[in-house]
Amino acid sequence: MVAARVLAAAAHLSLGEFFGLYPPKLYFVAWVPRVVLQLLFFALLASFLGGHDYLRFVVIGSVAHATYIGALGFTVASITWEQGSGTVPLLVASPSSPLLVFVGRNLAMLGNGLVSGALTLGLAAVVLDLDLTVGQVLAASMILVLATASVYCLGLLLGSIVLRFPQYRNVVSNITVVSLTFLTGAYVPVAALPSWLQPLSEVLPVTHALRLLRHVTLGAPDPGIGPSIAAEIAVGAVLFVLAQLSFTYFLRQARAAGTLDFH
Amino acid sequence: MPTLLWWMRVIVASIRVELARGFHAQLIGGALVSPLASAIYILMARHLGRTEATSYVVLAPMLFGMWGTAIVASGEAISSERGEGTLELLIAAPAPAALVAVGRIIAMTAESLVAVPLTLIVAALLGMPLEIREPGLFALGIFALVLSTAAIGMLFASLFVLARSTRLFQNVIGWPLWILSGVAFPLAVLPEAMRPLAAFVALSWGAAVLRGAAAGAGASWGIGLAAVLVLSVAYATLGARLFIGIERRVRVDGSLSTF
Repeated sequence: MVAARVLAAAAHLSLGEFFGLYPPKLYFVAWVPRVVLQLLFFALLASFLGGHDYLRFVVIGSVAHATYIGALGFTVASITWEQGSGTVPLLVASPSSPLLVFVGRNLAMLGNGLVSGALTLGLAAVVLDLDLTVGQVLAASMILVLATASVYCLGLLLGSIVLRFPQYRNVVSNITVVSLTFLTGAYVPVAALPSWLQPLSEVLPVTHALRLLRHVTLGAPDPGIGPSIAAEIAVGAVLFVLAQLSFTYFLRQARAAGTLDFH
Repeated sequence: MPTLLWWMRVIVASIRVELARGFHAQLIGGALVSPLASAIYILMARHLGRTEATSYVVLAPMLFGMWGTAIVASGEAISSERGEGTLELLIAAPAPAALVAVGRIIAMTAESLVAVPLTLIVAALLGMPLEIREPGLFALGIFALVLSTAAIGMLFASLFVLARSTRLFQNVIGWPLWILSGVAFPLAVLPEAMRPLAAFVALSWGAAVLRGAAAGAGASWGIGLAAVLVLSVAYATLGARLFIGIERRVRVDGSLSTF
């Protein structure tokens, strides 16, 4: 019960932090156009390089791209903002678990990933003239939630790592975003990647969810709904556990060395 | 002449300060992200067997990396000064603040060039090497684009003085330029009404020169290079005028800290 209250309070703070960063008006001026233009850019590139089928493949890939861009960068950065505001030692000293706060204080970023993905999906339906049923929209939404949640766990893990070198937070999240784009099949089928890279794709967030999304929205071959959902959840769960271990290790080490505030 | 010398000293000092920061996060990001991004574009073309599109998919991430670095550099040049509380001091100092921004942007643009050979190496490793038939012309094109990169950075730096949330705008500014430039795809892909706008984007002309140098057919490279240089001068002039105008305004009404 207490844990739920802490989580809710952290999530509430997270919302305040996000809208402090992006007041609603600024969100529509500086973030929404980015999502729209990114989709337009990749749609034009796909039109140039391939035919209509490839355009469909890429536009749905762009939905996943918008989702993890919306969630990942902010999640990684906001964990280091906690450090920057000098409140990590206070969290450690408080009776509540700092790990719970770290999980909750980025939930708005997860929401941003979802909104970005949903917006791109809506645009994709218009661009591709998709006649989606209510059932398909619901299924696609659930898949986006699944993908965002697993990306969020990756963000938590990366955030826990960059607590040690916060000046590299943007580098780490940018490289991760590009790597996910490269490896999860967003714009190039996983089967077209060099064979030695393909196993890596299977253990990354988004890969399995994206296959499902293409199946649900475009009628792509069924990747196995149950196993794909299970795989996406498993990837997220492993990342979540690794993030918790990494946070715990960082806090223990920093407390022992007295460097909680000196990274 | 003494004024010109003074200005040069300000720019050189600013370059030295920026370079003294060493192999910092942005440089590492620029050096790694562009080559990695190029792998995405290259694999897209390779997957579809579009080897004739090599010059588009290799040059696009390289040039986006250069201009993207300039946009980030111009934002950082302002937001880091603002964050450290030195923007007011910079504006109050006798040295023109615009030149300090220019120095930092030049240094970061020069650093971003590390992405050029790295991207070419990635392309070769992925089996789509960019053959450059006229390396001299290619180098000239890159040099002209470096000038345009610094100039566009200057233009954005002046606008960023008026924006508190520069980092948020950095996220969106690049995309319309990437679309309009026709670097990643021919302009013919764009809706007809949008195509003439490409003429105002130096990146578009520069990319055409580089593609010509790669293909060895460079009859119109002179026009392309001239356009890059003219547009660079226009960006820099507009940027400097804006910067000086904004600097004067915030000094007169004391409004710098309110942005």
